Amino acid sequence: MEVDKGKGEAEETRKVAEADRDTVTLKSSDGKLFEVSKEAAARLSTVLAGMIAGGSIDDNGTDLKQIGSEALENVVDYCNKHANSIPSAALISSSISFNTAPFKEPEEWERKFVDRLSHDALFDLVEAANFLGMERLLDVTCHKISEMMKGKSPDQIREVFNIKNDYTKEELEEIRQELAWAFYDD
Amino acid sequence: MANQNQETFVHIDARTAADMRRRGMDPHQMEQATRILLYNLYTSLPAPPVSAAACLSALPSASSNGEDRISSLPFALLREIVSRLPVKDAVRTAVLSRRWHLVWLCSPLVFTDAHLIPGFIERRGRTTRVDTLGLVAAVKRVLAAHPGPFRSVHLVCGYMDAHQRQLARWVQTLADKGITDLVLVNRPWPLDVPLPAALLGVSTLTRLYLGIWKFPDTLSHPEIWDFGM
Repeated sequence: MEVDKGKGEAEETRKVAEADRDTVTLKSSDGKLFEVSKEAAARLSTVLAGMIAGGSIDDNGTDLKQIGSEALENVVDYCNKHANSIPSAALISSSISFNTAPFKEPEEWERKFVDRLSHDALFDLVEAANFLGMERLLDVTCHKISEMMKGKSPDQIREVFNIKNDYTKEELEEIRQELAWAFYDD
Repeated sequence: MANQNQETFVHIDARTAADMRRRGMDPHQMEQATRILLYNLYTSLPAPPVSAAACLSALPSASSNGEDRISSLPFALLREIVSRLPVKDAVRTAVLSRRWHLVWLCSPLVFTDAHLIPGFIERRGRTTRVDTLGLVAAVKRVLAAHPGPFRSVHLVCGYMDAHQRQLARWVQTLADKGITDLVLVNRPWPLDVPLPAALLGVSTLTRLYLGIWKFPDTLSHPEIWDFGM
């Protein structure tokens, strides 16, 4: 998805061309360029939608200094896959009858999309999705992280995520007693 | 003989069965009818907001440089993650570290009582009263332990006939803690346990599914626009 952009075009020509194009170019913190469907970017990211509407998209690559190339590649990949995917019947019907339901379940391809990511790539993607205001991608990534925590003991969770236990022994004992009912089966 | 018959009943309690026999009715037929009724009810309810099943796909191994990536996520995202866990898993995150204790306290409650009865969903409600003995007390603990708001609460496993006063207190707690999405089912028998009328005055509700209750006489709640029975 990385593209080389010819330089030296006149500013005006570029502006006109930009308005007609159906993709936008994004630039990662390490200077790599990615092209993404304009329609999907505007639909999936409130930040990109604002930039497109406000005309602050740069044809030479809109700078996204907070996002590394690996995470940006995943964001762009996700948007482009979304642009091509037809929402399943289940998703349409659920959005009609159950649209106050608290969470939208990820679709099969979205599960696969996050399942292949390494631990660090997953968290880079969550942070990028958060920065770009991508609600749907946050749903999918938060769902994945919660899946990683389900059915595990606190010790196992600390190990998977490198969480440091900063309680004193006494504090921990107190909290465990307070929430004792959650630590055994009824 | 009497013992044998009781063994075969899942839905009809001994008193109802004896009463039916006295009136010349076959309690087995009523048991079968109730089974079909509940099957249809449980399959037409909205799915529980979170699934209790653990992840089967391979988990990515921990961060390569030993960093705690998850705890440095913004608080709002941690709340989203905790809200997606079955309630016991969610509560247990409070002991991870001090930050996580705050996260649990600030995460909107998403709670399905079926998760407190292992295998309930898979068995489509074919659990007996014995399986639900500790349920009312367990639900009470969850509703009391969480400070609110309650985003989504599904109470679908309880035999509420014997717990009507507790039920009235639940409705009060649900109202106090700003419930928005509620599924409330009473398991028969009997079929005519009165629904606390106060429930229909809870102004924070945006979605309400009810079954199997004796309805209060008046119904007026213009705010609810997705109402299932």
